Amino acid sequence: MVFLNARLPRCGGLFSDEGAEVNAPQRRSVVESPSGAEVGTPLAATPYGNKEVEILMSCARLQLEEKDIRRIRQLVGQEPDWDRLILLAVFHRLTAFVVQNLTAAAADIVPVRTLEILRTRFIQDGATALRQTAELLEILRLFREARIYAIPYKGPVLAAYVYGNLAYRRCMDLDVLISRQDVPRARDLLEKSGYVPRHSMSPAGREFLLNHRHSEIFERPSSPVLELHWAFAKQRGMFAMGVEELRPRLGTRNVGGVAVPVLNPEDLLLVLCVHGANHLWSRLEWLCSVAELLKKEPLNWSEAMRYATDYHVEKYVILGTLLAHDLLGAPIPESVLDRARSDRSIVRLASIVGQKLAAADVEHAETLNSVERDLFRLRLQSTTKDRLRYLSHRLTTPSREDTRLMVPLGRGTVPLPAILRPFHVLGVLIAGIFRPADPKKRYPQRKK
Amino acid sequence: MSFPEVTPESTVIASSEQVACDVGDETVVLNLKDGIYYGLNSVAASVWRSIQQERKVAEIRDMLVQEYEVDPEACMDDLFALISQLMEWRLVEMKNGKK
Repeated sequence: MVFLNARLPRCGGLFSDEGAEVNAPQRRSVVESPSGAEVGTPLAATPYGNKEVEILMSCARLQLEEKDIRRIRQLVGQEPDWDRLILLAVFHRLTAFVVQNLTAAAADIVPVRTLEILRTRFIQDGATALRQTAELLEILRLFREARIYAIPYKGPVLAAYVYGNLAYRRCMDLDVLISRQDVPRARDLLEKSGYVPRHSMSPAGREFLLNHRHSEIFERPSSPVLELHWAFAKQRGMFAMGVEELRPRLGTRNVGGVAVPVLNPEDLLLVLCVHGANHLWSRLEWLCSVAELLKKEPLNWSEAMRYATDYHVEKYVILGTLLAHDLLGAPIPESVLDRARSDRSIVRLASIVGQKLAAADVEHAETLNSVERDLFRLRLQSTTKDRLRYLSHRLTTPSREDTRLMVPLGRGTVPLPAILRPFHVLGVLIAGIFRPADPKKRYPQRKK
Repeated sequence: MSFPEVTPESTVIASSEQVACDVGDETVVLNLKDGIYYGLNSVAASVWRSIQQERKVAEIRDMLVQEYEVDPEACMDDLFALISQLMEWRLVEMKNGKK
Protein backbone atom coordinates (compact mmCIF):
# COMPACT_ATOMS: atom_id res chain seq x y z
CA MET A 1 0.00 0.00 0.00
CA VAL A 2 1.23 3.44 -0.78
CA PHE A 3 0.63 6.50 1.29
CA LEU A 4 -0.03 9.23 -1.20
CA ASN A 5 -0.45 12.48 0.58
CA ALA A 6 -2.47 13.81 -2.29
CA ARG A 7 -3.52 17.17 -1.07
CA LEU A 8 -4.96 18.25 -4.39
CA PRO A 9 -2.42 21.05 -4.92
CA ARG A 10 -3.28 21.23 -8.59
CA CYS A 11 -6.88 22.14 -7.90
CA GLY A 12 -5.83 25.51 -6.67
CA GLY A 13 -7.99 28.02 -4.92
CA LEU A 14 -10.15 26.82 -2.14
CA PHE A 15 -8.70 23.37 -1.77
CA SER A 16 -5.08 24.11 -2.44
CA ASP A 17 -2.22 24.07 -0.01
CA GLU A 18 -0.14 26.15 -2.35
CA GLY A 19 -0.43 29.74 -1.35
CA ALA A 20 -2.60 28.60 1.51
CA GLU A 21 -0.99 31.10 3.83
CA VAL A 22 -1.92 33.94 1.51
CA ASN A 23 -5.22 32.80 0.13
CA ALA A 24 -6.61 30.62 2.91
CA PRO A 25 -10.31 31.30 3.19
CA GLN A 26 -11.29 32.63 6.57
CA ARG A 27 -13.87 30.82 8.64
CA ARG A 28 -16.78 33.07 9.54
CA SER A 29 -16.94 32.01 13.20
CA VAL A 30 -14.03 31.84 15.62
CA VAL A 31 -14.09 30.08 18.96
CA GLU A 32 -12.24 32.08 21.56
CA SER A 33 -10.57 30.24 24.39
CA PRO A 34 -10.45 31.69 27.88
CA SER A 35 -7.63 34.08 28.53
CA GLY A 36 -5.99 32.10 31.26
CA ALA A 37 -6.17 29.85 34.26
CA GLU A 38 -7.84 30.73 37.52
CA VAL A 39 -5.54 30.18 40.45
CA GLY A 40 -7.05 28.78 43.57
CA THR A 41 -9.92 26.88 41.95
CA PRO A 42 -10.66 23.39 43.22
CA LEU A 43 -8.87 22.10 40.18
CA ALA A 44 -5.63 23.66 41.34
CA ALA A 45 -5.33 20.87 43.89
CA THR A 46 -3.92 17.85 42.12
CA PRO A 47 -3.66 14.29 43.34
CA TYR A 48 -0.79 13.54 41.02
CA GLY A 49 1.90 16.09 41.80
CA ASN A 50 3.08 15.64 38.24
CA LYS A 51 2.37 18.32 35.62
CA GLU A 52 2.71 15.99 32.67
CA VAL A 53 0.30 13.44 34.12
CA GLU A 54 -2.12 16.23 34.96
CA ILE A 55 -2.03 17.50 31.38
CA LEU A 56 -2.59 13.97 30.13
CA MET A 57 -5.59 13.51 32.43
CA SER A 58 -7.07 16.86 31.40
CA CYS A 59 -6.68 16.00 27.73
CA ALA A 60 -8.04 12.45 28.00
CA ARG A 61 -11.54 13.28 26.79
CA LEU A 62 -13.33 13.98 23.54
CA GLN A 63 -15.01 17.18 24.67
CA LEU A 64 -13.23 19.84 26.68
CA GLU A 65 -15.24 21.90 29.10
CA GLU A 66 -14.28 25.41 30.14
CA LYS A 67 -12.71 24.12 33.33
CA ASP A 68 -10.59 21.64 31.35
CA ILE A 69 -9.35 24.41 29.06
CA ARG A 70 -8.46 26.60 32.05
CA ARG A 71 -6.70 23.73 33.74
CA ILE A 72 -4.70 22.83 30.63
CA ARG A 73 -3.60 26.43 30.14
CA GLN A 74 -2.63 26.67 33.79
CA LEU A 75 -0.50 23.53 33.56
CA VAL A 76 1.05 24.49 30.23
CA GLY A 77 2.01 27.80 31.77
CA GLN A 78 4.04 25.94 34.40
CA GLU A 79 6.54 24.75 31.77
CA PRO A 80 6.12 20.99 31.88
CA ASP A 81 8.68 18.58 30.51
CA TRP A 82 7.36 18.38 26.95
CA ASP A 83 9.42 15.36 25.99
CA ARG A 84 8.06 13.55 29.01
CA LEU A 85 4.53 14.51 28.04
CA ILE A 86 5.05 13.16 24.52
CA LEU A 87 6.39 9.92 25.98
CA LEU A 88 3.40 9.60 28.28
CA ALA A 89 0.93 10.41 25.52
CA VAL A 90 2.40 7.73 23.28
CA PHE A 91 2.65 5.17 26.09
CA HIS A 92 -0.92 5.73 27.19
CA ARG A 93 -2.07 5.75 23.53
CA LEU A 94 -3.61 9.18 23.91
CA THR A 95 -1.65 11.00 21.22
CA ALA A 96 -4.78 12.03 19.35
CA PHE A 97 -6.44 13.40 22.47
CA VAL A 98 -3.36 15.27 23.61
CA VAL A 99 -2.58 16.94 20.31
CA GLN A 100 -6.20 17.82 19.59
CA ASN A 101 -6.92 19.18 23.03
CA LEU A 102 -3.63 21.02 23.46
CA THR A 103 -4.27 22.63 20.09
CA ALA A 104 -7.81 23.56 21.03
CA ALA A 105 -6.96 24.85 24.50
CA ALA A 106 -3.46 26.26 24.33
CA ALA A 107 -2.02 26.30 20.80
CA ASP A 108 -0.69 29.80 21.46
CA ILE A 109 1.50 28.70 24.37
CA VAL A 110 2.45 25.08 23.63
CA PRO A 111 5.78 24.78 21.80
CA VAL A 112 5.29 24.29 18.08
CA ARG A 113 7.80 21.43 18.10
CA THR A 114 5.72 19.51 20.63
CA LEU A 115 2.54 19.88 18.59
CA GLU A 116 4.35 18.90 15.40
CA ILE A 117 5.77 15.74 16.95
CA LEU A 118 2.40 14.76 18.34
CA ARG A 119 0.62 15.60 15.13
CA THR A 120 3.02 13.50 13.05
CA ARG A 121 2.39 10.61 15.38
CA PHE A 122 -1.36 11.21 15.17
CA ILE A 123 -1.27 10.99 11.38
CA GLN A 124 0.81 7.80 11.54
CA ASP A 125 -1.66 6.32 14.00
CA GLY A 126 -4.50 7.27 11.69
CA ALA A 127 -2.90 5.57 8.71
CA THR A 128 -2.18 2.50 10.83
CA ALA A 129 -5.75 2.43 12.07
CA LEU A 130 -7.08 2.52 8.52
CA ARG A 131 -4.81 -0.33 7.50
CA GLN A 132 -5.89 -2.35 10.52
CA THR A 133 -9.50 -1.72 9.66
CA ALA A 134 -8.94 -2.92 6.12
CA GLU A 135 -7.32 -6.09 7.46
CA LEU A 136 -10.15 -6.64 9.90
CA LEU A 137 -12.71 -6.35 7.12
CA GLU A 138 -10.75 -8.85 5.07
CA ILE A 139 -10.66 -11.34 7.96
CA LEU A 140 -14.38 -10.88 8.57
CA ARG A 141 -15.04 -11.46 4.87
CA LEU A 142 -13.04 -14.71 4.97
CA PHE A 143 -14.98 -15.90 7.99
CA ARG A 144 -18.31 -14.79 6.54
CA GLU A 145 -17.72 -16.73 3.33
CA ALA A 146 -16.86 -19.79 5.40
CA ARG A 147 -20.00 -19.24 7.51
CA ILE A 148 -18.01 -18.61 10.64
CA TYR A 149 -19.87 -16.06 12.73
CA ALA A 150 -17.32 -13.59 14.02
CA ILE A 151 -17.66 -10.63 16.36
CA PRO A 152 -14.88 -8.05 16.23
CA TYR A 153 -14.45 -6.10 19.43
CA LYS A 154 -12.09 -3.45 20.77
CA GLY A 155 -9.75 -2.27 18.02
CA PRO A 156 -11.11 -0.19 15.14
CA VAL A 157 -14.73 -1.07 15.86
CA LEU A 158 -14.44 0.34 19.37
CA ALA A 159 -12.69 3.47 18.08
CA ALA A 160 -15.43 4.09 15.55
CA TYR A 161 -18.15 3.63 18.16
CA VAL A 162 -16.92 5.51 21.22
CA TYR A 163 -14.68 8.08 19.55
CA GLY A 164 -16.30 8.41 16.13
CA ASN A 165 -12.79 8.41 14.66
CA LEU A 166 -10.56 5.45 13.86
CA ALA A 167 -7.43 7.53 14.42
CA TYR A 168 -8.17 8.04 18.10
CA ARG A 169 -7.34 4.50 19.10
CA ARG A 170 -3.96 2.95 18.56
CA CYS A 171 -4.47 -0.78 18.58
CA MET A 172 -1.74 -3.35 18.95
CA ASP A 173 -3.82 -6.19 17.57
CA LEU A 174 -7.22 -7.16 16.20
CA ASP A 175 -9.58 -9.10 18.45
CA VAL A 176 -12.24 -11.35 16.97
CA LEU A 177 -14.56 -13.66 18.92
CA ILE A 178 -15.90 -16.86 17.34
CA SER A 179 -17.53 -20.03 18.60
CA ARG A 180 -15.26 -22.65 20.09
CA GLN A 181 -16.57 -25.18 17.58
CA ASP A 182 -15.45 -22.97 14.67
CA VAL A 183 -11.88 -22.57 15.90
CA PRO A 184 -10.34 -25.47 13.90
CA ARG A 185 -11.86 -24.21 10.64
CA ALA A 186 -10.89 -20.64 11.45
CA ARG A 187 -7.32 -21.73 12.10
CA ASP A 188 -7.18 -23.47 8.73
CA LEU A 189 -8.57 -20.42 6.95
CA LEU A 190 -6.11 -18.10 8.59
CA GLU A 191 -3.16 -20.34 7.83
CA LYS A 192 -4.22 -20.59 4.18
CA SER A 193 -4.29 -16.78 4.13
CA GLY A 194 -0.70 -16.61 5.27
CA TYR A 195 -1.20 -16.24 9.02
CA VAL A 196 0.91 -18.41 11.30
CA PRO A 197 0.28 -19.10 14.97
CA ARG A 198 2.66 -17.15 17.19
CA HIS A 199 3.22 -20.28 19.29
CA SER A 200 3.65 -23.33 17.15
CA MET A 201 2.40 -26.47 18.80
CA SER A 202 1.36 -30.02 18.08
CA PRO A 203 -2.26 -30.97 17.39
CA ALA A 204 -2.43 -32.21 20.99
CA GLY A 205 -1.16 -28.86 22.17
CA ARG A 206 -3.79 -27.03 20.11
CA GLU A 207 -6.50 -29.23 21.55
CA PHE A 208 -5.26 -28.51 25.04
CA LEU A 209 -5.16 -24.79 24.25
CA LEU A 210 -8.72 -24.87 22.98
CA ASN A 211 -9.95 -26.53 26.15
CA HIS A 212 -7.96 -24.59 28.70
CA ARG A 213 -7.34 -21.11 27.36
CA HIS A 214 -9.39 -18.44 25.64
CA SER A 215 -7.51 -17.28 22.56
CA GLU A 216 -4.75 -17.91 20.08
CA ILE A 217 -2.51 -15.34 18.41
CA PHE A 218 -1.80 -15.31 14.68
CA GLU A 219 0.71 -13.24 12.77
CA ARG A 220 1.41 -12.40 9.17
CA PRO A 221 4.11 -10.15 7.71
CA SER A 222 2.94 -6.56 7.23
CA SER A 223 -0.38 -7.32 8.91
CA PRO A 224 -1.60 -6.49 12.37
CA VAL A 225 -1.53 -9.28 14.92
CA LEU A 226 -4.81 -11.16 15.12
CA GLU A 227 -6.00 -12.56 18.43
CA LEU A 228 -8.66 -15.15 17.76
CA HIS A 229 -10.88 -15.60 20.82
CA TRP A 230 -13.37 -18.27 21.73
CA ALA A 231 -13.90 -16.80 25.19
CA PHE A 232 -13.22 -13.44 26.80
CA ALA A 233 -11.27 -14.60 29.81
CA LYS A 234 -8.82 -17.25 30.87
CA GLN A 235 -10.40 -18.62 34.00
CA ARG A 236 -12.76 -21.48 33.56
CA GLY A 237 -16.30 -20.56 34.42
CA MET A 238 -15.63 -16.85 34.59
CA PHE A 239 -16.97 -14.42 32.06
CA ALA A 240 -18.33 -17.35 30.09
CA MET A 241 -20.03 -15.22 27.44
CA GLY A 242 -19.89 -16.88 24.08
CA VAL A 243 -20.99 -16.01 20.59
CA GLU A 244 -24.28 -17.88 20.90
CA GLU A 245 -25.22 -16.03 24.06
CA LEU A 246 -24.18 -12.63 22.72
CA ARG A 247 -25.75 -12.98 19.30
CA PRO A 248 -29.33 -11.99 20.21
CA ARG A 249 -28.03 -8.79 21.82
CA LEU A 250 -25.61 -7.68 19.12
CA GLY A 251 -25.94 -4.51 17.12
CA THR A 252 -24.46 -3.76 13.72
CA ARG A 253 -22.27 -0.96 12.50
CA ASN A 254 -21.34 0.02 8.98
CA VAL A 255 -17.58 -0.12 8.57
CA GLY A 256 -16.15 0.32 5.09
CA GLY A 257 -19.50 -0.52 3.54
CA VAL A 258 -19.85 -3.74 5.52
CA ALA A 259 -22.43 -4.35 8.25
CA VAL A 260 -20.27 -5.59 11.12
CA PRO A 261 -21.76 -7.21 14.23
CA VAL A 262 -20.86 -5.28 17.37
CA LEU A 263 -21.34 -5.78 21.10
CA ASN A 264 -24.11 -3.82 22.74
CA PRO A 265 -23.00 -1.10 25.18
CA GLU A 266 -23.67 -3.16 28.31
CA ASP A 267 -21.66 -6.15 27.11
CA LEU A 268 -18.95 -3.83 25.83
CA LEU A 269 -18.66 -2.21 29.26
CA LEU A 270 -18.01 -5.61 30.82
CA VAL A 271 -15.43 -6.55 28.20
CA LEU A 272 -13.55 -3.27 28.56
CA CYS A 273 -13.56 -3.37 32.37
CA VAL A 274 -12.32 -6.96 32.49
CA HIS A 275 -9.62 -6.26 29.92
CA GLY A 276 -8.44 -3.09 31.63
CA ALA A 277 -8.35 -4.64 35.08
CA ASN A 278 -6.48 -7.73 33.87
CA HIS A 279 -3.82 -5.32 32.65
CA LEU A 280 -3.99 -3.31 35.86
CA TRP A 281 -5.39 -0.31 33.95
CA SER A 282 -1.83 0.49 32.92
CA ARG A 283 -2.86 2.36 29.74
CA LEU A 284 -5.03 5.39 30.25
CA GLU A 285 -6.68 4.99 26.83
CA TRP A 286 -8.42 1.85 28.08
CA LEU A 287 -10.03 3.93 30.80
CA CYS A 288 -10.78 6.69 28.33
CA SER A 289 -12.78 4.31 26.17
CA VAL A 290 -14.84 3.29 29.20
CA ALA A 291 -15.43 6.94 30.11
CA GLU A 292 -16.45 7.90 26.58
CA LEU A 293 -18.74 4.87 26.34
CA LEU A 294 -20.47 5.99 29.53
CA LYS A 295 -20.70 9.58 28.30
CA LYS A 296 -21.96 8.57 24.89
CA GLU A 297 -25.39 7.27 25.69
CA PRO A 298 -27.40 6.16 28.69
CA LEU A 299 -26.51 2.64 29.66
CA ASN A 300 -28.98 0.10 30.93
CA TRP A 301 -27.18 -0.13 34.26
CA SER A 302 -29.46 -2.71 35.83
CA GLU A 303 -28.85 -5.00 32.86
CA ALA A 304 -25.11 -4.30 32.87
CA MET A 305 -24.78 -5.04 36.59
CA ARG A 306 -26.93 -8.15 36.26
CA TYR A 307 -24.64 -9.47 33.52
CA ALA A 308 -21.63 -8.52 35.61
CA THR A 309 -22.96 -10.52 38.55
CA ASP A 310 -23.99 -13.47 36.40
CA TYR A 311 -20.54 -13.60 34.80
CA HIS A 312 -18.65 -13.11 38.07
CA VAL A 313 -17.09 -9.82 36.98
CA GLU A 314 -19.02 -7.40 39.16
CA LYS A 315 -15.94 -6.00 40.88
CA TYR A 316 -14.16 -5.56 37.58
CA VAL A 317 -17.01 -3.37 36.36
CA ILE A 318 -17.31 -1.43 39.59
CA LEU A 319 -13.57 -0.71 39.64
CA GLY A 320 -13.51 0.34 35.99
CA THR A 321 -16.50 2.62 36.26
CA LEU A 322 -15.24 4.14 39.52
CA LEU A 323 -11.92 4.99 37.87
CA ALA A 324 -13.68 6.38 34.79
CA HIS A 325 -15.83 8.54 37.05
CA ASP A 326 -13.13 9.78 39.42
CA LEU A 327 -10.35 10.29 36.89
CA LEU A 328 -12.21 11.22 33.71
CA GLY A 329 -15.59 12.51 34.81
CA ALA A 330 -17.72 9.69 33.43
CA PRO A 331 -21.33 9.65 34.65
CA ILE A 332 -22.27 6.64 36.77
CA PRO A 333 -25.32 6.07 38.97
CA GLU A 334 -25.10 6.96 42.66
CA SER A 335 -25.87 3.35 43.55
CA VAL A 336 -22.78 2.12 41.68
CA LEU A 337 -20.66 4.90 43.16
CA ASP A 338 -21.85 4.08 46.67
CA ARG A 339 -21.19 0.40 46.08
CA ALA A 340 -17.67 1.20 44.89
CA ARG A 341 -16.80 3.55 47.73
CA SER A 342 -18.08 1.17 50.39
CA ASP A 343 -15.91 -1.72 49.18
CA ARG A 344 -12.47 -1.52 50.75
CA SER A 345 -10.90 -3.80 48.18
CA ILE A 346 -12.22 -1.66 45.32
CA VAL A 347 -10.96 1.50 46.99
CA ARG A 348 -7.58 -0.12 47.53
CA LEU A 349 -7.33 -1.25 43.91
CA ALA A 350 -8.36 2.19 42.65
CA SER A 351 -5.66 3.67 44.84
CA ILE A 352 -3.07 1.32 43.33
CA VAL A 353 -4.07 2.36 39.83
CA GLY A 354 -3.94 6.02 40.81
CA GLN A 355 -0.49 5.62 42.33
CA LYS A 356 0.81 3.96 39.18
CA LEU A 357 -0.55 6.76 37.05
CA ALA A 358 0.97 9.38 39.31
CA ALA A 359 4.32 7.60 39.26
CA ALA A 360 4.24 7.83 35.44
CA ASP A 361 6.81 5.06 35.37
CA VAL A 362 6.15 3.97 31.82
CA GLU A 363 9.13 1.67 31.77
CA HIS A 364 7.58 -0.53 34.41
CA ALA A 365 3.95 0.36 34.06
CA GLU A 366 2.65 -3.18 33.76
CA THR A 367 5.21 -4.59 36.10
CA LEU A 368 4.28 -5.70 39.53
CA ASN A 369 5.92 -8.63 41.09
CA SER A 370 3.78 -11.74 40.80
CA VAL A 371 2.47 -11.47 44.33
CA GLU A 372 1.20 -7.93 43.79
CA ARG A 373 -0.31 -8.76 40.40
CA ASP A 374 -2.06 -11.84 41.70
CA LEU A 375 -3.31 -9.99 44.76
CA PHE A 376 -4.71 -7.30 42.46
CA ARG A 377 -6.58 -9.86 40.43
CA LEU A 378 -7.58 -11.88 43.48
CA ARG A 379 -9.19 -8.81 45.04
CA LEU A 380 -11.34 -8.51 41.93
CA GLN A 381 -12.99 -11.87 42.50
CA SER A 382 -16.49 -11.47 43.87
CA THR A 383 -16.87 -14.58 46.02
CA THR A 384 -14.72 -17.09 47.85
CA LYS A 385 -15.54 -19.63 45.16
CA ASP A 386 -14.32 -17.19 42.50
CA ARG A 387 -11.11 -16.61 44.43
CA LEU A 388 -10.49 -20.34 44.72
CA ARG A 389 -11.21 -20.71 41.02
CA TYR A 390 -8.71 -17.98 40.22
CA LEU A 391 -6.03 -19.62 42.36
CA SER A 392 -6.75 -23.00 40.81
CA HIS A 393 -6.40 -21.47 37.37
CA ARG A 394 -3.11 -19.81 38.26
CA LEU A 395 -1.69 -22.99 39.68
CA THR A 396 -2.77 -25.43 37.02
CA THR A 397 -3.38 -23.77 33.66
CA PRO A 398 -0.34 -23.64 31.42
CA SER A 399 0.54 -20.66 29.33
CA ARG A 400 0.44 -20.80 25.54
CA GLU A 401 4.19 -21.31 25.50
CA ASP A 402 3.84 -24.30 27.80
CA THR A 403 1.63 -26.13 25.31
CA ARG A 404 4.49 -26.60 22.91
CA LEU A 405 5.78 -29.61 24.78
CA MET A 406 3.07 -32.20 25.29
CA VAL A 407 3.60 -35.49 27.09
CA PRO A 408 1.28 -38.43 27.54
CA LEU A 409 -0.52 -38.62 30.87
CA GLY A 410 -3.28 -41.10 31.43
CA ARG A 411 -5.47 -41.33 28.37
CA GLY A 412 -4.47 -38.04 26.94
CA THR A 413 -1.57 -35.69 26.75
CA VAL A 414 -0.77 -32.65 28.80
CA PRO A 415 1.86 -29.98 28.49
CA LEU A 416 4.94 -31.05 30.39
CA PRO A 417 5.29 -27.69 32.11
CA ALA A 418 1.69 -28.05 33.34
CA ILE A 419 2.77 -30.89 35.60
CA LEU A 420 5.43 -28.71 37.12
CA ARG A 421 3.34 -25.56 37.03
CA PRO A 422 1.96 -25.60 40.56
CA PHE A 423 5.48 -25.85 41.93
CA HIS A 424 6.72 -23.18 39.57
CA VAL A 425 3.94 -20.78 40.49
CA LEU A 426 4.36 -21.42 44.21
CA GLY A 427 8.07 -20.84 43.85
CA VAL A 428 7.53 -17.52 42.11
CA LEU A 429 5.01 -16.45 44.73
CA ILE A 430 7.28 -17.40 47.60
CA ALA A 431 10.24 -15.63 46.00
CA GLY A 432 8.06 -12.59 45.51
CA ILE A 433 7.18 -12.51 49.17
CA PHE A 434 10.74 -12.83 50.45
CA ARG A 435 12.66 -10.95 47.77
CA PRO A 436 13.73 -7.45 48.81
CA ALA A 437 11.41 -4.96 47.22
CA ASP A 438 12.71 -3.60 43.94
CA PRO A 439 12.21 0.14 44.11
CA LYS A 440 11.70 0.31 40.37
CA LYS A 441 8.78 -2.02 40.63
CA ARG A 442 7.06 -0.04 43.35
CA TYR A 443 5.20 3.17 42.75
CA PRO A 444 7.91 5.81 43.11
CA GLN A 445 6.70 9.29 43.67
CA ARG A 446 8.55 11.49 41.24
CA LYS A 447 10.26 14.41 42.84
CA LYS A 448 9.06 17.72 41.50
CA MET B 1 -11.53 6.26 -18.36
CA SER B 2 -13.85 9.24 -18.66
CA PHE B 3 -16.22 10.28 -15.97
CA PRO B 4 -19.54 12.13 -16.20
CA GLU B 5 -19.24 15.88 -15.94
CA VAL B 6 -20.12 17.34 -12.59
CA THR B 7 -22.98 19.81 -12.52
CA PRO B 8 -24.62 21.72 -9.67
CA GLU B 9 -27.51 19.27 -9.83
CA SER B 10 -25.30 16.21 -9.58
CA THR B 11 -25.65 14.14 -6.45
CA VAL B 12 -22.55 12.75 -4.84
CA ILE B 13 -21.89 10.37 -1.99
CA ALA B 14 -18.71 8.91 -0.52
CA SER B 15 -17.95 5.45 -1.79
CA SER B 16 -18.74 2.66 0.64
CA GLU B 17 -15.47 0.89 -0.10
CA GLN B 18 -13.26 3.14 1.89
CA VAL B 19 -12.42 3.90 5.49
CA ALA B 20 -11.38 7.30 6.70
CA CYS B 21 -10.27 9.11 9.79
CA ASP B 22 -9.91 12.73 10.75
CA VAL B 23 -6.48 13.86 11.87
CA GLY B 24 -6.94 17.34 13.16
CA ASP B 25 -8.53 19.47 10.46
CA GLU B 26 -7.58 17.05 7.75
CA THR B 27 -8.80 13.64 6.69
CA VAL B 28 -7.01 10.51 5.56
CA VAL B 29 -8.97 8.14 3.36
CA LEU B 30 -7.95 4.58 2.52
CA ASN B 31 -9.45 3.18 -0.65
CA LEU B 32 -10.12 -0.45 0.22
CA LYS B 33 -10.03 -1.50 -3.44
CA ASP B 34 -6.62 -0.24 -4.41
CA GLY B 35 -5.08 0.12 -0.94
CA ILE B 36 -4.00 3.71 -1.55
CA TYR B 37 -4.23 6.40 1.10
CA TYR B 38 -5.39 9.90 0.20
CA GLY B 39 -4.97 13.01 2.27
CA LEU B 40 -7.56 15.76 2.19
CA ASN B 41 -6.80 19.21 3.46
CA SER B 42 -9.15 20.98 5.85
CA VAL B 43 -11.55 22.37 3.27
CA ALA B 44 -11.67 19.15 1.25
CA ALA B 45 -12.20 17.35 4.57
CA SER B 46 -15.29 19.51 5.19
CA VAL B 47 -16.62 18.45 1.81
CA TRP B 48 -15.76 14.83 2.57
CA ARG B 49 -17.70 14.89 5.82
CA SER B 50 -20.71 16.40 4.10
CA ILE B 51 -20.86 13.67 1.45
CA GLN B 52 -21.10 10.80 3.89
CA GLN B 53 -24.74 11.16 2.92
CA GLU B 54 -26.02 11.98 -0.57
CA ARG B 55 -25.72 15.67 -1.34
CA LYS B 56 -26.26 17.83 -4.35
CA VAL B 57 -23.17 19.67 -5.45
CA ALA B 58 -25.05 22.96 -5.15
CA GLU B 59 -25.82 22.13 -1.50
CA ILE B 60 -22.14 21.52 -0.80
CA ARG B 61 -21.25 24.83 -2.41
CA ASP B 62 -23.81 26.62 -0.25
CA MET B 63 -22.34 24.96 2.85
CA LEU B 64 -18.84 26.12 1.93
CA VAL B 65 -19.96 29.64 1.14
CA GLN B 66 -21.68 29.72 4.51
CA GLU B 67 -18.55 28.54 6.31
CA TYR B 68 -15.84 30.33 4.37
CA GLU B 69 -15.49 33.79 2.89
CA VAL B 70 -15.35 32.66 -0.70
CA ASP B 71 -16.93 33.74 -3.95
CA PRO B 72 -19.73 31.31 -4.86
CA GLU B 73 -18.66 30.98 -8.49
CA ALA B 74 -15.02 30.33 -7.63
CA CYS B 75 -16.18 27.89 -4.99
CA MET B 76 -18.27 25.99 -7.53
CA ASP B 77 -15.33 25.73 -9.93
CA ASP B 78 -13.11 24.38 -7.17
CA LEU B 79 -15.81 21.98 -6.10
CA PHE B 80 -16.20 20.60 -9.62
CA ALA B 81 -12.45 20.00 -9.73
CA LEU B 82 -12.40 18.33 -6.31
CA ILE B 83 -15.30 16.01 -7.02
CA SER B 84 -13.83 15.06 -10.38
CA GLN B 85 -10.59 14.19 -8.64
CA LEU B 86 -12.39 12.16 -5.95
CA MET B 87 -14.24 10.28 -8.70
CA GLU B 88 -10.97 9.53 -10.44
CA TRP B 89 -9.68 8.11 -7.17
CA ARG B 90 -12.93 6.16 -6.85
CA LEU B 91 -13.66 7.67 -3.48
CA VAL B 92 -17.06 9.04 -4.46
CA GLU B 93 -20.01 7.99 -6.56
CA MET B 94 -22.03 10.46 -8.54
CA LYS B 95 -25.52 10.51 -9.94
CA ASN B 96 -27.08 12.79 -12.50
CA GLY B 97 -23.76 13.89 -13.94
CA LYS B 98 -23.71 15.24 -17.47
CA LYS B 99 -22.45 12.56 -19.85
